[in-house]
Amino acid sequence: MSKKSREQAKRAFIGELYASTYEFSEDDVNYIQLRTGDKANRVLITGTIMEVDEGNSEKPMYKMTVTDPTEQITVTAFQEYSPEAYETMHRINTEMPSVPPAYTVIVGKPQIYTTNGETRVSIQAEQVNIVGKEERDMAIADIIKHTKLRLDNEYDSRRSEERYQSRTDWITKQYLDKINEAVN
Amino acid sequence: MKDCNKKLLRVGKHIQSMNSVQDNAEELYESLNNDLDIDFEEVKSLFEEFAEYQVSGQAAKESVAQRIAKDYDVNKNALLTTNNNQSVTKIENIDEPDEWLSIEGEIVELWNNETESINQVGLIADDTGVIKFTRWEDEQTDVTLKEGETYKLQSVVTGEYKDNIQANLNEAAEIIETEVEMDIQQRTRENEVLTGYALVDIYDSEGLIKRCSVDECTRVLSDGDCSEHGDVEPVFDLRIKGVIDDGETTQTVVIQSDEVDEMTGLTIEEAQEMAKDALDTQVVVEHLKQELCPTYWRFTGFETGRQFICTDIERPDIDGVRRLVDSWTAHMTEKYVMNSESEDGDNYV
Repeated sequence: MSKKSREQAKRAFIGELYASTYEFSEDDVNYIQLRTGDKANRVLITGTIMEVDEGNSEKPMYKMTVTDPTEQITVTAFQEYSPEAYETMHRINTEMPSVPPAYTVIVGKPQIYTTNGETRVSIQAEQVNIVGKEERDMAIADIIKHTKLRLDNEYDSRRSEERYQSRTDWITKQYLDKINEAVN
Repeated sequence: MKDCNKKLLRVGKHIQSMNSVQDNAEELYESLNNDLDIDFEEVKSLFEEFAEYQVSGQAAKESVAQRIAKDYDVNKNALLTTNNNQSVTKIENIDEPDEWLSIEGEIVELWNNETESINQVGLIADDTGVIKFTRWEDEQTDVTLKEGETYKLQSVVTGEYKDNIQANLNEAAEIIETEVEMDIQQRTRENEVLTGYALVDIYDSEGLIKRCSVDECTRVLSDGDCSEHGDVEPVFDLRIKGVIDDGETTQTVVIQSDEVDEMTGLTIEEAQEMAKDALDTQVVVEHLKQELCPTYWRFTGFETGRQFICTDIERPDIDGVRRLVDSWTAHMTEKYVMNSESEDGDNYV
């Protein structure tokens, strides 16, 4: 009767994900090692949609660029693997001339890839929601809360320290100030 | 493509029902007294007969036992209490209707009951949860469940009423007084408020659903059939069953039509219109996902089994949230930005 429980969506800023390039598997589940210490198989992010394009792939897909105050990330949706996110991106591209820009909250799977010798992180979207400022602010608050909890958790920090030189070097005063400005 | 999938689904269902005939027949046959002059094929053909009328699962088992009891002049209870030695299921693990199991726990509440066919109704709790039970009229007239006492309820069958899983004690059930010390879960029916959760997914079978129209049944129809009443006139309802996630745990949530309307402005009538225009009920759940996944809500309700039944829904307090951002960024700036700059030398050995 016991079912394998669903992986939680770890709340993370794009700045942290961008710097979290180490991946590993545990019990057949893929994770990225977050800078702040925890691991993530699924993430929840927020930001502004800057660009939506059909991707260059044999399989139908969309590619989207999402930014937060200092960093940007690529969010993909293949029609085959995440039809709902694909459908949303298709609608943005064909029916919503005023988007981009728009605020978005996204749940998806982080993926590591290499381009021109550099290791990068992208998100394979599962759910993409176009939202207003209030919903975006709620997501920012939730992300800050969890980022702080992870940083304050000394036990988890060890796993990060095994992989990265620093778990906080992606956080700058400018980054935090901009986040605070965005919400207040 | 879709037609093909549907066909496959139907074939799958057919095989499933064939399997359940075989399984049910084997289970019942094994429990029959050796003195009874009946062979397996006969038991199986009875199940097949009922399966023809879309009666399966527990209902079929009851009916077949009834037939055998009548034909061979034996007590039906004796035929059905096959699971005397079955292990006790913890209440928190009870999450499917039509399961056959035993519960051990304390009666924490008995409710007033004016329905003639119901003997006793209330809540039973163990150390993992609380579940509603209904004891229908039975022959164990010498036993009355009392509040504060512990019992083992054997061979009860789970049912679903308005999306809550409950335990039914029918004729086949057996009540045994026990004296087990356990740290019981007092109540879970009280309102609980969940904050920090986002609705991240909605199950595809949800949205515009069809329920059984027979009396108080309300069972959700599968392929137009009620598991108890077969082919019935459907009643449309709008419901979300999906996943909520707070970054640390995920949980199944059930949200009823009034709350769905509050979240999206969509009424049952509008959802029906939408499905009619598209000739497909699936458009409703797709619409709900587009509108709602992911969004943050403040969920009020109670937990039953592994589901959170939402009874009220509100937007989170955005001003409170904004104030927290201020204090958290200040905390992080002070603790991690300053320190990480001054400790840079230590970090980069």
